[in-house]
Amino acid sequence: MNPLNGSDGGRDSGDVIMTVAPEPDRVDLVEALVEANDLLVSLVGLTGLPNSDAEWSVQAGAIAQEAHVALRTAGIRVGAPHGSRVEVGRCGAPSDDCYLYLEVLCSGETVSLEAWREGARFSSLDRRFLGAVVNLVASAARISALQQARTSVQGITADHAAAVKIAQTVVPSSRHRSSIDGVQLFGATRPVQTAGGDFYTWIETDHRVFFALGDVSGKGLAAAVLMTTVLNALEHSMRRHPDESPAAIIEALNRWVFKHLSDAAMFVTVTVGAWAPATGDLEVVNAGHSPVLFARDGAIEPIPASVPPIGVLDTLESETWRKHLRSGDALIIGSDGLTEQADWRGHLFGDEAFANAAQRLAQDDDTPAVAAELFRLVDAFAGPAPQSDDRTLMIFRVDELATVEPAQST
Amino acid sequence: MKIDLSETACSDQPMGARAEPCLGLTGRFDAFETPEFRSTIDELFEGGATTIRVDMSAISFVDSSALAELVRVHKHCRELGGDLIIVSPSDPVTVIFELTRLDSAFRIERKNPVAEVA
Repeated sequence: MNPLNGSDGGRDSGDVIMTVAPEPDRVDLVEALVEANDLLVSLVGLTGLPNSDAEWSVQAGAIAQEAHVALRTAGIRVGAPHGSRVEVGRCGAPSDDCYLYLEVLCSGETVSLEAWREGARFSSLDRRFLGAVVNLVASAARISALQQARTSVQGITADHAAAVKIAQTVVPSSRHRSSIDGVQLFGATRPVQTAGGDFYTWIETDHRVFFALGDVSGKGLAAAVLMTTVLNALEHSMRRHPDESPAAIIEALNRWVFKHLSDAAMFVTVTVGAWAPATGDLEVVNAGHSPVLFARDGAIEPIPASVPPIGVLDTLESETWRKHLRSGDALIIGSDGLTEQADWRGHLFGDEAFANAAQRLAQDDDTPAVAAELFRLVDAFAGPAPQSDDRTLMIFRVDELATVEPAQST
Repeated sequence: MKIDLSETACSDQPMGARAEPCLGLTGRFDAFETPEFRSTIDELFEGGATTIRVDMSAISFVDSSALAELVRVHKHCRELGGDLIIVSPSDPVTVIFELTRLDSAFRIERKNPVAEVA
């Protein structure tokens, strides 16, 4: 029901029909005009849009009620429940100067307003008054439409935020495994509120430890949904095919993503590693991801991508980075939300600064503390600038490794 | 970002390439710019284009949203039997392409050397 239409009366809900009684005292008309406008200003103009449907209903009801009072004071009946059209005959044809009909189109909804003065023409004061009423109706219709749109957007935004939050629950904010056959793993993520594309995971099987860190391009619900799908597929593959190489895992994942996301403007950068305690060998495949850094003896070696991100090409032929590990080695994988964080001038933290920090910190065996310091450095660099993207970090570190001779020197 | 689709946008392209639509991009190419880029590109697709050249020599910054948009265009062109051709990517773009190995996925061409010198 339209807030200004006091009755449904079997008409379309957008109709407002008025009949104008013999002209009342002009002072009353002016007062009614002032009251009607003041009401709208006081209820809406000063307080802004209502914050909820319930609040809008209260305000709309108040506007409608006061408008009725004001219009009746002016001798005009609004939204007469029955028979308004019968009075048209008495009034004469619409071409007569006693008839007003107009439609207010607002956000696809039409509010119709009809008014008559029985047996008389509209006076100039009538015209002004009706003009004010028209404005009132139009304003109320616009406010109503805005409120509906905002309610709709709020609903979508709330659903969106809830879905992103649910999706992000699959990636713990931090996770630490302090002892897996002499190595430790630490992962942490700090998502931006509207984002949801970063992920990390690791899976321990009987004879290997798989790990992965990735970033789905874009932000929001679509990125979050694809992220959970990719993460599930990765973990499934690691569990069900523990003898597969990281390369095989990435290539299979790519085939699926490419096939199912042919129209989406999305891709996934990901690094997948597999650690075999029995041999001491680490295999890493990098599909379009950075930064990926290997730290040994105080030096840093970037592990570059060997193939484009997942979802770009129908097939991938990745190259595997291999290293026989020894105590103190560490692999540090971040997301671009760390290296591409901007300060207030728009300058980026950068790959070099991240690599320098990683080099300085990598020999510390307290991986949660190392991660915290890396996050802190990026925070400090950003200063007042807002976090621009998800920040995710994973550290794989060898603590004490039983001496295993390398099968092949690396 | 400025998107130039005029005949002069890629006038320094090799003669054989001028039959293909070419977008000259200038400035930052990021999430704020992708809607206009997508709209422009989709109009080219609707007009029957299958191969599109994108001149990125004057791009100062590219983010993952822009890369994703290029990937979408690349895939769609390939599906239509054509290709996306990146023309003379600037240094910042080249660094990102190399970092992500998208340089191995995209077809990248250099402008006419004479024109570049000029």
